[in-house]
Amino acid sequence: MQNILIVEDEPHIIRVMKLSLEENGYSINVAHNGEQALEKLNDGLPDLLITDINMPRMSGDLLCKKIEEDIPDRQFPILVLTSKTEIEHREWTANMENTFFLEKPISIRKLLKMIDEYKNGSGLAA
Amino acid sequence: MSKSNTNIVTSWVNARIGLMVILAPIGAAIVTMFLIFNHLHETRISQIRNQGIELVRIISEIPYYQLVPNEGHRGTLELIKYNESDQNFAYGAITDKTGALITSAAVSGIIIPKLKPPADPSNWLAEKRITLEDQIKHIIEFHAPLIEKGELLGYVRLGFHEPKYGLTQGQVPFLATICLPIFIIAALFLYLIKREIQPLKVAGNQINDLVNQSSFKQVEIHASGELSDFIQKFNEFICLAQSRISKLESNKNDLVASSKLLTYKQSKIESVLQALPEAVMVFDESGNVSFVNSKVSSLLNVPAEVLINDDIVNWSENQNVMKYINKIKNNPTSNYPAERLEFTPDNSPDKRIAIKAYPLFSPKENKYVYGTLALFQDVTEENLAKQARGEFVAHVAHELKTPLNVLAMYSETLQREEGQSAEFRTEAVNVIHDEVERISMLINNLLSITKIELGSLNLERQHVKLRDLLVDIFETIKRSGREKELKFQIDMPKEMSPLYIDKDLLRIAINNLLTNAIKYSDTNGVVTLSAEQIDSSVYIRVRDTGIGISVDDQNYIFDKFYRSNDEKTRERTGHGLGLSLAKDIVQLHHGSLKVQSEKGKGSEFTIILENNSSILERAV
Repeated sequence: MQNILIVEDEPHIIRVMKLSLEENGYSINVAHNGEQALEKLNDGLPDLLITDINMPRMSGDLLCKKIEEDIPDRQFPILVLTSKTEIEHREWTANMENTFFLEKPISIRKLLKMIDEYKNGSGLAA
Repeated sequence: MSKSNTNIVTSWVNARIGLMVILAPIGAAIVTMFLIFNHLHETRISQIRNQGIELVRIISEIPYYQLVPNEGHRGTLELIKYNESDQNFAYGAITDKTGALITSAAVSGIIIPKLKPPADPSNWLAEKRITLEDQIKHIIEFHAPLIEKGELLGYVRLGFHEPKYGLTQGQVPFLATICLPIFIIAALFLYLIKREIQPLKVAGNQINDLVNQSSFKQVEIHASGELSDFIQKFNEFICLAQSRISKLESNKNDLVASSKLLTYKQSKIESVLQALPEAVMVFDESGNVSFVNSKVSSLLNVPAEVLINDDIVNWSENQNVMKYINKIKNNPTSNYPAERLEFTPDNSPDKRIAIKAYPLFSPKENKYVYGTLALFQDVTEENLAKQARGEFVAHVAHELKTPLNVLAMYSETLQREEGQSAEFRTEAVNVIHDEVERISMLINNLLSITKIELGSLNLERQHVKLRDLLVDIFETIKRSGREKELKFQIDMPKEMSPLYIDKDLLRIAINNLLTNAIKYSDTNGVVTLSAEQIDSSVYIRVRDTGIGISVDDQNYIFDKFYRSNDEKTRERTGHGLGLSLAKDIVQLHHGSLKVQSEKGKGSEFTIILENNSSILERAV
């Protein structure tokens, strides 16, 4: 698990995540919205996709639905960054496997721990 | 029929009665006299007959020689002629059996008519009516055979004048005696009747006058007896009628007054109901719609006649509305729908309308219910506002959370001491500073808008060089992170008169317009900020070549919390506050904010401010 695609519109968040994850040896690709993410997925699939929900042009939930349609045998996990209120509206992920949530405000420490646990086969526990 | 005609007829009738009164006894007298004369005539004829037959028989029995006069003495006939007291005696004659006259005696002027002797012996003794030669006089003749020793010697003939209708001298005094009292009685009778009729005639005229004048007053007549009684009763009746009429008239006046009052009260109530800002429908006790104010038909977009006269199905097929209205109609006293019902009318799908029913209790008797008042409210805006408020809170929360997230991540990263370059630390500190600024700006925006709306914000006006302000805002906004995607232009004259404005507030307004222009522009778009002064008006324009705003949305974009449902707009974050705040600020400066936009082509927002200082300068 080396390649991570971050889909996020807030440049500062991207910057911190990118720096922290790169520091831990991950290779980071960035998309600013769902549309850009789909384009990047066309070029090659990541080992992990981290996405925000509220984004311009194409939101995170729409992106996930598109991925479900376009890549039915998806292997890479999706980590959705949500706020507490958004967690309450998770119906859209009900039938999606291999999808996890990380609550905002994001803790880099928690994020790294989740990735480690996933790699060790214990899944991604929020 | 006209009055004069009535008078003529009345007087004619009166005259006829008088005439009848005179003519009736005269007629009666004439008839009586005729009957008397007739009777006398008949009596006379039968008298003549009896006398004639008797006499002719007697004479026929006298010996023949005695009948024929001798020299020196008169015959029996002459004797009869002189002795016959009867004025009717005309002649007497003795004939032989061939009818030739042997002797005769006749009153003067009478020529004895010739007579053919009857052949049949049964006709020897007979009576015969003969018309004399003058064709005027009639004679009743009696003849009998003269038989001596069984041999017919001749005939005796006696003629009498047939009596005429007329008075005999003896009858005149008798008739006069009869006629005189009749005439006297008739005259007396006429006089009495006239005297009795006179008060009636006066009463008739007075009543006629009353009818003509259409007035009611008592009849003034001095009469006696039954007429006086009648007049008195008539006057009592008039009195009664007068009081009844005046009572009726006062009742009528009361009725007219109360009906006018009722009409006035009703129109007052209707005008109140019409003037209500709400749409009002009134159901009566039987559940029929009795009143609808004009707002209902415009709200439901259904003509008032349909609402009043027709069944509900004619104006709504919405099951919930039908159920609600039927509840009102069928159960006016109990089981009132307590909750209001919100529905979308069949003919305007964008509208949201609420109905609420209120029972119309009698103010005196609470148990009695006059019907139901149904209040219709257009809650479209209320609902939109509710929806927008919910969305606004979500947006604000998101807007607040985004910088908070950044802050949390940077501070967490800074906490880890290992491996953080000095460069990163500087960046982190700067970012934290910027994000705090961002939060504070958002909160300031929220506070400003609240203050403006509560009216507690005071403008801190100062003379500002517009060019400097605009350039400053423009340069700041250009560094939005999209400078590579978009083309930014500024266009304004180098010299402009200073504006007397609240610089910080106007900065917020222009900043919000520019932020929107950038936000809603696609890659390679152009954002232009321009300004110009025409006369005393200053125009500040923010133009973009972005997604544009639909005509429908243009009506709402300045409403607080409003966010378009347009997909392209929804892709972009926003709190529906920027334009509302911008408009509030411009209006505080007594200016106006206008929009011109075409979907897919871009938008142009124009702030128009009156440059009071330039007016002052010109005045000086």
